[in-house]
Amino acid sequence: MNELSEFERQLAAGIEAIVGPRRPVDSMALARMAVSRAPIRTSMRSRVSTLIGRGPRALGRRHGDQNHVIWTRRNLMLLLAVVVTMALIGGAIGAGSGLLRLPAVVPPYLSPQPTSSPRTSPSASASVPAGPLGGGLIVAHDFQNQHDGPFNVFLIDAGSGDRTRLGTLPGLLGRAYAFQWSADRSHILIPDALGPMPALQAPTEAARRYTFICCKDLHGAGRWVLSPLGDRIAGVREDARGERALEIVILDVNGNGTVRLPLPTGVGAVGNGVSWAPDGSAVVIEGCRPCNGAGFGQRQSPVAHYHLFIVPTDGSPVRELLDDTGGGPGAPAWSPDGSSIAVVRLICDPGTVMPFCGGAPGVLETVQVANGAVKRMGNVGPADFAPVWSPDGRRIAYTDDTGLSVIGADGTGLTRLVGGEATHAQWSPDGSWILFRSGNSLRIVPSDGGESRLVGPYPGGAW
Amino acid sequence: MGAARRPLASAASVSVRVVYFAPALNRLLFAMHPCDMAVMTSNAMEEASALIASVAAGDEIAFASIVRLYHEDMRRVCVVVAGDEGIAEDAVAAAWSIAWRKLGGLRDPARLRPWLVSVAVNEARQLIRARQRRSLIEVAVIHVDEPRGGPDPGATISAIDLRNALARLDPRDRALIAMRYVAGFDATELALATGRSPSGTRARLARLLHRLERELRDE
Repeated sequence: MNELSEFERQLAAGIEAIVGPRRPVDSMALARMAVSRAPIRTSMRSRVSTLIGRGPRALGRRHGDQNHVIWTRRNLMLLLAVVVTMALIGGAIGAGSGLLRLPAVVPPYLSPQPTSSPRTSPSASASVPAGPLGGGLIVAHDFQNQHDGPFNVFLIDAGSGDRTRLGTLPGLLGRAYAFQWSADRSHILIPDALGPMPALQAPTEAARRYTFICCKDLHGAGRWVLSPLGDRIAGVREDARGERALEIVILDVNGNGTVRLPLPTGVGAVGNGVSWAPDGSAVVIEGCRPCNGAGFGQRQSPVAHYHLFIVPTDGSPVRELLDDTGGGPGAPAWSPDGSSIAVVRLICDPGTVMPFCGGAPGVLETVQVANGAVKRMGNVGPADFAPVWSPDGRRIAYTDDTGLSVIGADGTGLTRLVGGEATHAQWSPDGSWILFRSGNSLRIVPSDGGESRLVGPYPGGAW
Repeated sequence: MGAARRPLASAASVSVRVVYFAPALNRLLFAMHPCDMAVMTSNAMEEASALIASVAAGDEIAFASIVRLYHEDMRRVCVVVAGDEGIAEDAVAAAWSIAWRKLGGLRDPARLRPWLVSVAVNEARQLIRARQRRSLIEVAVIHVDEPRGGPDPGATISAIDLRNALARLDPRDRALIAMRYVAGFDATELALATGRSPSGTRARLARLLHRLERELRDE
């Protein structure tokens, strides 16, 4: 660690160029802010106020004023959003029902053509004995170290490694697309990882067998999730600041209408989006109410309470499950039998709250939908993603910073399948394999344990 | 150092206090480097400990001196960890808040800088994690708004490749790289900041360097 090697020197210079030069520090202001944000220590208020030459009350007022300014601006934003929404609705009604259909969602050139190419249609392949490994093909895209693409989209048989190119997608500034298959494997959702999303481009003949649903910032909502039957997509519409989740928007994939399901006022927008009930009768979304916006512009606020909100799609009242004052219940995942919801909850150190929640490894839990009863399955390390149910609902896979693990739905039989980097676990349709991401590659591992195999250098994919 | 408990009201006492503490902190800062470790006299140690003690007793001026000395180290490391200036600043602000509360528990003044940086890195990781839960998949944490001009004269590594390579690392590994090459930590400090043994840290760093070199040379 004495002399820097040539590569180290280049690396240091490269990182230096990314980080930029040192800046002057207003240490008094930073110190004051830190002191004012810390939970009150003994007679802290009077000390701070002495320091900046105001009385304690003046200090409080100053912060109050800041909040007031933010609040007014937010009001304006809300007003604007309401006006725009009204205008949109008015326009839609004025133009007739045509606008409420979804021409942009399903590009006409990609509509499914059931009569064409009868050979080895993937939806039929599940019943063919020698089908693809895991009971279905993987849809994935390559990366090729390009930020701005184009990415090639493939269908891949994880067993043989055979792949069919479907078309291309534009780059996502280094991000990957998170595809979703519908249960009957006829629809592929390309969700909006970064806001407005384009459709599949330059589709090949093979792409004609599938319906690609893409979500070009529809109805101001995002984070779309395909329903288990593949007939609807559910997204979350947030306010202009991205702080509050306003409503769940459900669109019929075939253009048969839009359902808007308002959330209770004041629900904070957190999480990945919704998880569907297996029968499509409701969606569940996590959110805080009240929220602690500290760190995102709002400095003084109460302790956040996180909940799961169950939103019936028929417009029945929203139900609130859980009341968590820790780090929140992670991305919820509804079980295939509909009885429970798996979450990874973050546990904050005593006295700390999100987002300044110290320590905080998570716990994997299941929450009974009927009565909200919580069952703790085990501890989970940091870097969690949503837990995933096996297709038969008997096991749950989850990833944390130590690897990929599977645990029985009853909390027994914890098995570490993969150590090291593993994220974005997904079950194969027949439940015998688990697909996961390691670095910018996809790998698979038998769900009962065994050696993992490389699928290929694909950063994003779905089984 | 009982004077630290005295309430501070006037600007005059502010400047006096800063002047008083700066030498002790500078000595502390330099003592962090391995070659200077022997220079850390028992006297300087005492002064540094007293400084930490006065922060623990509620002395904001002493605290501001510490902020001035270490803020940029923390921020710059967090920029690499989070790949985002805004997250880095939020993380460091949160870290100072924690430091204000917990600095008093720091017994060994030689741990000050590694401890502060590791607190900031933890906060940055928490914030990245909060963001990760908001978007489904991110390959790169670092935005590429790269000027397409010529490469930096000091670096022959492409900046975009480097950003990509860093983005593919675990946040803790990015933190290790940043602490070494941005903040200039030595093996002892890296070990203190990461909670691993010095030899384990060296091995980890060597593996990371090997990986980065392979990726960057191939591209």
